[in-house]
Amino acid sequence: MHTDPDIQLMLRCGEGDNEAFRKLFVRYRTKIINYCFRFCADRSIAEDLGQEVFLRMYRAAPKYRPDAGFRTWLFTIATNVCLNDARRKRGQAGTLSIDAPIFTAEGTAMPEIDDPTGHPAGRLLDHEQETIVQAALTKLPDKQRAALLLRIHHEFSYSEIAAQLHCSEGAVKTLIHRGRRVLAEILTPYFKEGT
Amino acid sequence: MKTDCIFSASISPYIDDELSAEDTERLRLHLKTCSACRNQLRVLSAMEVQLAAMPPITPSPDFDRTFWQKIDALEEKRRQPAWKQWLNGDRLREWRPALAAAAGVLILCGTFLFTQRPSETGFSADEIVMSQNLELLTDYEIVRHLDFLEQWMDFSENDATDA
Repeated sequence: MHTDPDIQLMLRCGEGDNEAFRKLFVRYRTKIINYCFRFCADRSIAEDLGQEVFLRMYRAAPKYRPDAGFRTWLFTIATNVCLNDARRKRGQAGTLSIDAPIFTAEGTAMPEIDDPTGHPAGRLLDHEQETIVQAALTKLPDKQRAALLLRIHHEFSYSEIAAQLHCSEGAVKTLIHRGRRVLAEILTPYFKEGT
Repeated sequence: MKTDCIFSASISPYIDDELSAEDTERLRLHLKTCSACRNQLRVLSAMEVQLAAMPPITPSPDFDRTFWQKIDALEEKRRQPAWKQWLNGDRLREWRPALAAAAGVLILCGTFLFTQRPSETGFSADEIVMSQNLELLTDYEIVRHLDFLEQWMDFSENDATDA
């Protein structure tokens, strides 16, 4: 008998209990959409990806086996959906740069990076800060981005991330380490003095 | 940002609390003497705060409605008979090239077998054609010696002229 309430709900989904599915959907939709949003940097695409994640979850319900934690299982689906989408779109759309318009939680914005120290004490406004960090994230290779987001925003352990990315824990350690270093190189000028 | 220090790679798992107790202690001791690693830890930790502080977005009001519409469509599809599900599904699209190739092979095989099939009487197609034209074949001997006949007719005509 599984003590994880989410696993119990998911098992009930497999038996055709739509109310159980609805509870899981409500519990996880914001987290999944945010994960997709931070991955692809586009709100509309993030919602499409989020819907695809929950549709896959719904279709998979009858065959669901609680081998791992439910959250890990759901984010594995989300990671696969995001990575597949990125793979499909690669070449169609250019990558975002830190001097290009970018989507944020508050809408489209243009990062002002010409003179970051122009603000008092080099401190960036919250919105600009988010814009620049999001743009820097999109510069990372897909798997590095996924690993970092899973770690920092969703607090998965290295072993859980390894299961989601289908790689070893050592590989996850390297992905996160490299991702952090690349991000730091891009963002260091904005952290100087005042952050 | 880059440092050649061998402890550099341990800083990220240290932030994530993924180092063993022994390695954590070793890194802490090292940080007391290595300014490059201390700097790296400071920069990465600051960035961590920035990343974690990114505000979450909320799903648009349409998100739920669109999703449940998709679920209804899926359920509607599931209620269809199996063969209809298969015909309307993605599976058929995946199998389409293979099915087209199989149909082509079947048509070729069918054509070949039909043309090569012996008749029910045991006669070949040529023999049947001959039997249907037996009247013509009774003159076969004459036709076979057509040259001789022509020569004979020429000879007869010459005789008549000479006379």
